[in-house]
Amino acid sequence: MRHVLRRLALFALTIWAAATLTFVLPRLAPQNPVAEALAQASLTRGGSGTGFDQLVASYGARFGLDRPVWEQYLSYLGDIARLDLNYSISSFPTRVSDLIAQALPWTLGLLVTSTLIAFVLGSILGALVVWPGSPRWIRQVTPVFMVLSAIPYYLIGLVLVYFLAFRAGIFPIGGGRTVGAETSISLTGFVDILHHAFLPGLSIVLTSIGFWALGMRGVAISVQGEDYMTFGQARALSERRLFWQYSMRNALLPQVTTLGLSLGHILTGAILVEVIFSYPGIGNLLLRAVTQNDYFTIYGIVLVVTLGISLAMLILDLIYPLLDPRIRRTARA
Amino acid sequence: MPHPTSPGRIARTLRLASALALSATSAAFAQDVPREDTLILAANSNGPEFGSVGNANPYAPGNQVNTAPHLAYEGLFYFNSFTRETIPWLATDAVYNDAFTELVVTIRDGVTWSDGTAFTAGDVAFTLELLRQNGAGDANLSYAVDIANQLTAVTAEGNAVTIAFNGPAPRFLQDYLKMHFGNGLYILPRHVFETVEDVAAFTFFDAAKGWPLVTGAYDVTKWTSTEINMDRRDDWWGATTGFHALPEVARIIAVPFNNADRGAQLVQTDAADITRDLPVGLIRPLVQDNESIITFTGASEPFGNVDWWSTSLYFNSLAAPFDDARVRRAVGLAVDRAQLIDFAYENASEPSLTPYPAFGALADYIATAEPLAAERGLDRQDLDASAALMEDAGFGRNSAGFWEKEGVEVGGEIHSITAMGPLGTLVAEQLRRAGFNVSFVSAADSVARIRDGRAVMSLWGHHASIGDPYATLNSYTCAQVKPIGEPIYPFFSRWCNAEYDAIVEQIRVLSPDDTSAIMPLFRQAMSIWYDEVPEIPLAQWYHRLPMNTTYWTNWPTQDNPYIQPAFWLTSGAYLIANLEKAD
Repeated sequence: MRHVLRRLALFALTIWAAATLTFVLPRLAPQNPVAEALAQASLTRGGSGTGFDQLVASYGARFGLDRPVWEQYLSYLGDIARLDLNYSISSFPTRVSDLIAQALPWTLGLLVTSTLIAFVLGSILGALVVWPGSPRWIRQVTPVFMVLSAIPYYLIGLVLVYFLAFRAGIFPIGGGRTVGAETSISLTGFVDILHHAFLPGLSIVLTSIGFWALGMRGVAISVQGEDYMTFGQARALSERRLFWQYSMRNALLPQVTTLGLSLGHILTGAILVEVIFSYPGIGNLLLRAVTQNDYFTIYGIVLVVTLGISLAMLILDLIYPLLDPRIRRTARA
Repeated sequence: MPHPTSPGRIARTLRLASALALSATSAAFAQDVPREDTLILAANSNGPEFGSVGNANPYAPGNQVNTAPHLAYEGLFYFNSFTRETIPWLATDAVYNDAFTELVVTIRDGVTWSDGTAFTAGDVAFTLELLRQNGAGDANLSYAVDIANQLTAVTAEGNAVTIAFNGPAPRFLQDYLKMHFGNGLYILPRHVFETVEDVAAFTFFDAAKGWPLVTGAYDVTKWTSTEINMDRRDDWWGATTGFHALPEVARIIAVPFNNADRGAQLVQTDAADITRDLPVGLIRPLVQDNESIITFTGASEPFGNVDWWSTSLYFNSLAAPFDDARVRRAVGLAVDRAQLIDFAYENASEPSLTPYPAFGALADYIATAEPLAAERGLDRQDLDASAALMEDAGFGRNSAGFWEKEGVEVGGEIHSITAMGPLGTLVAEQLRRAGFNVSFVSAADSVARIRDGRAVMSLWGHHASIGDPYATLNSYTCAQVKPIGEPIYPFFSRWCNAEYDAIVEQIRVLSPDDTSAIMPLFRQAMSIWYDEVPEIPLAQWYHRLPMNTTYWTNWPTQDNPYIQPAFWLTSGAYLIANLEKAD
């Protein structure tokens, strides 16, 4: 119980520190985000520009940017506590929560799925590489993935787009769904989304499998030499049982830790993939928010990312005892 | 020893996955309106998404209505900058009094809003009065201060709208009531807006209510961050009154342009019918390798039409050493325009010696200005003359070969948008070879730096004159100048000359059609301008738009220039109304 409370307190402190840094850093830039948003919207308009200053002032007041900084900070903390992320400056009147809610499913769907697929395939591959008697093709294929993992995924993405989308026309060039496709939940729509997600997902999977395989291989090697493995073989346990329930399970714990960390960082790693494939996810949203100095959208996304990472760590800390009985026994002792 | 994996199982899984992926192609363009009746535009966006989603109020700050929803709005008049033709649309006529202090606009009979309510002179008067009062008060609507500075009252009686000005305003009709480029006011439905308390916060979008209410032939039926749908109304007033045939486009879909590469991909794969501007390097192979894709000039250079955004190298004339006209002229003499056109635009553009776009209406003025530039040697590169000017200004070459005075090198960063990259890099190199230590920068804050005067030089265009030179002349008056650190928009030259201002003020009160009266004043003003060189004109800017003829034809071309093809301009609705289905 004490452990849980301590972790929750650390969680809250992490959120506060991240929120404070996020509030301060964008404001160090000399740009006026309201002026930027209005100037951007005015780029193709006529008019003499008279009244631009008044427009900036009144629009800024709408976001509370005319108040003293300390007042804005306190208001910001209160908004975070209520999960009220305010309006987007560059996409007014859309609320930041709506922008994030629209973008997040795309990122989670693509990156979480791709990461999990890469994790599962890579971990199995890494364990099989050191497993005696695994087929030869495992050992031939694994180095290929190691090489691919050294190549940035956005380069792989560009190659896939060129050959499979542009040249062969098998997959779409980009976007989240077909232009004009129905947005209602349906099998057709789901398949359409999968079709669009295939290439970006494939680029992530291809370049990530090697990473997970390498990590798993290292741990699996040491697990192979454990006494319980020898005992299991002596007891004539089946290969399948030895592999999955003894070797994989024991080697998986460090991998799960890494998975938790990488899932938390997924949102920050999404930017390049989403830019190349024009995917309407959080990465693109964050990039736009930063370039346009859209304070509130930046705050909202960073809050979501911080919450995501902190929550992932909290959950991992809490489920470790479930994964590893040794931790449960130690805690009781 | 058996292994725990089965290659056969893996292979079967892969086959299933491939089948699923390929079957998804059947989901392509799942629409109730066939593709051949649909026009797809790759429109201006913030990356892969549209900004300001659901804000259909054309006067709300930060709105991006001109992404695509503006195609549902119509104008009182349209103006064709190619032919100088005014096309009456919601209005039939507009007449000034002799002093240009009053303008009477006659509204066409039979026009209705999309909810069936009659469109009247009252709507026009309401819109102008709304802006005028807002500009004099809260000043939180676009154009409001502009309108308030010019209008004293607007009244409606019958079909006539009478606009009273606080002084001669001979260009108000052209600049605010004729839709062309970014100019022209959209008229709001009085019966909706008169009940709205906070117009600046009112988004005017609700598909269930049929908002935005428009007179145009399309309703906005879907508006997300990745797609905007607009469906044709068969009860559009233009068709029911016999004024104009019902547009053949049954549905307009706007998707985010994102960037030039994506735009080219979309149009090449028939996933879009027209996009935003593409650079020469992309559009040349696009039109030469695809018969179905044309430009305003077909498959030939310059692959587009002249835009109002003629490009110049601007100086921040408040920032040393560019506060010295000799230094500015020396920089101008270091520029080789032919080389810029050759390398930056692959010879598919035209050099410019003036700050004016090469529209027909400005041809005489350009022809008058160019000799003034030539007299001062500003029509050619002359490195010796440039060096002589710098020495006269007290500068000497340092050991690195750059001009310097009192230990300070002449140079800095030339800021601009990324689209100016090819041009900016070349300009910087030419200036470096002439002894100016400059570099081209396009950063996230470049536009902010230019606007705030923190950039000493910039590459930018002009969105001012189209039919007469006043708007551009006015952009260089002292009223546009503010101290460094204070933003000015949209004109970035912080140059001021009282004698020049006095001449421009005389032009302001003249009719834009009175060429004989304007020309001598224009010559005087431009003589001062070329003496002082607030900027260095470089090249014309072209809208290089790929237009896909697979599904739609009758795009504007040089053989048929019925309107600007740029669909995001305020004249976009007129373009849509004239497209025809391909055979």
